[in-house]
Amino acid sequence: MIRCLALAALALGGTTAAARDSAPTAEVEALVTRAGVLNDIYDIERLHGVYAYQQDNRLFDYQPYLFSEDEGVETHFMNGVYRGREGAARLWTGRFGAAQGGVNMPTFGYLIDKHDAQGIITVSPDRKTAKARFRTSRDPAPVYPGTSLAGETLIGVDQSVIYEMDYVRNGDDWRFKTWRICIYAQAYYGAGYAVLPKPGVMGIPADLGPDGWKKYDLSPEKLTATEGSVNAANTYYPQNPVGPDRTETPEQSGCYLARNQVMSKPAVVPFHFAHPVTGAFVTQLPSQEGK
Amino acid sequence: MMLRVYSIMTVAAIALAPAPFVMARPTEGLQDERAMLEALVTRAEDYEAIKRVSYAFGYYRDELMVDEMLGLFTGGASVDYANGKYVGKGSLRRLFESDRFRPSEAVGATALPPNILNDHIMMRPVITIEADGRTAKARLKDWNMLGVHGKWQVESSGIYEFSYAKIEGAWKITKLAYCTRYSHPYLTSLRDVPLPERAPAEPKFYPSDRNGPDRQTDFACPPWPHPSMAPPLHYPNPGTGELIHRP
Repeated sequence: MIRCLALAALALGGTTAAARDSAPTAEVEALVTRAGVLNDIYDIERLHGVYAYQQDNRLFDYQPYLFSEDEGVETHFMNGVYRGREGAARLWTGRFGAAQGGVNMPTFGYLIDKHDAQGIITVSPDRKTAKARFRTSRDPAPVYPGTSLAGETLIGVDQSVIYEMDYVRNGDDWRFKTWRICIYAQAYYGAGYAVLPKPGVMGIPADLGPDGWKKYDLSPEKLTATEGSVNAANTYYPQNPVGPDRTETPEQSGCYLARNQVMSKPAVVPFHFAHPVTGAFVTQLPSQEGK
Repeated sequence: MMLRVYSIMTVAAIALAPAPFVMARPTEGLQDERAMLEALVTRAEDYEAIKRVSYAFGYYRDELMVDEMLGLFTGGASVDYANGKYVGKGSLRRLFESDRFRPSEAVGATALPPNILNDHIMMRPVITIEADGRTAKARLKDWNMLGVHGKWQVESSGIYEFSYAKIEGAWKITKLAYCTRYSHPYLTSLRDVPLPERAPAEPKFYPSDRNGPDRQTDFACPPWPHPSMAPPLHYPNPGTGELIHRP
């Protein structure tokens, strides 16, 4: 009996060793891919961190270098769309950088403090592309009174922000393919979201009605924003040297632009990812109820 | 193209900056798929372990769990904090138990009293593992809600630069540099926050100050509204390869 067991064990061991030596490459390749996807997720999380610390430190000139040089790269900001890495540079260096005097570094008084969280990162099966959704609260405090390089007069606010990002592989690392942001709510720091829209404050017109958010729409039909307002970039490049190449409507982007528009007009930035359990792609239409 | 990164200031900064801590590619040079698999799995495990150590530090800090915090550090570890440098576990304990590192109302407590909020939300890791898989660095930030019921409430945020070593399979902290970015009474308009000193006075050192640091910190940490990127980034911009340094 013992001899039989020993022989069986020997045979089993021999079989296992033989199986190991001749393991189908496809199996190992599949495991390499699965482990590779986990590493990709970490690399993309890391890239977002690099981006976010540069944003906190207002190193705006460095942000375009996180974008791919491939065709089809786009930056979506406030419903303006900027094409290519050059378009990203137009936005970050030309617009954001200029607003702080073009110094590409932290300056006295300005605060951008982002708390990026809740990332859902999805890598394509071939590991050549990826997508991610992040959110952040954002506390921009553009001014300590009388000290801003750009002479801004805003005070501290809270913002609520959704990112929907596309990535493309760049050798062993990743770069942005689409950078898409929706700042969907904004409020005075210290006062809270519920007090806005408040006619007459923070750029909200004194005569704001139920559809007042539409005055902040960047869609092509709505080119009436006054120069110097948050949406002054609604004139296209190259007529506006820091303008977008095109615009998209709130319905296309899922992002309405009135400050704290969620109080009057809800929106949902589309989810890139399938439901984790059912596998179905989920859409949510903005509620038509409310004010 | 409007890319204009290499200003004179930037070039000067490159000359002064230390060599960047470059991200290693675990499968570089590997042909054998099993070796590649092991390298990828090890890197994933290392990444999670480093994140876990860093996040655990925040949870233990919230709850005043000093022994557990000390267990995350190597014996000779150093912490740069609040204008001082603390070296070795005895000094780290002195810091962690003092009112420099916890609300003064919690000094002497071994568990968080019920009337105190001491939340440090650790977030946004940029983790860089060295090629040999034995050392690593990470940048994190925290966002903090601190207060004593009926007395005071503060919102603050700061930046961590951790160094780690993998010792007998476990990642431990060898160095920590922390800079408070801002700190102000909760719900106070930032416009009304009094201007803090750009550089705090040089501290008294231990033992003349029984809670003091061993020596001066290596890191200046000017708080907002003063401009600062401190502590310095340990990694280069992935696109330019440049280690970005600003005063």
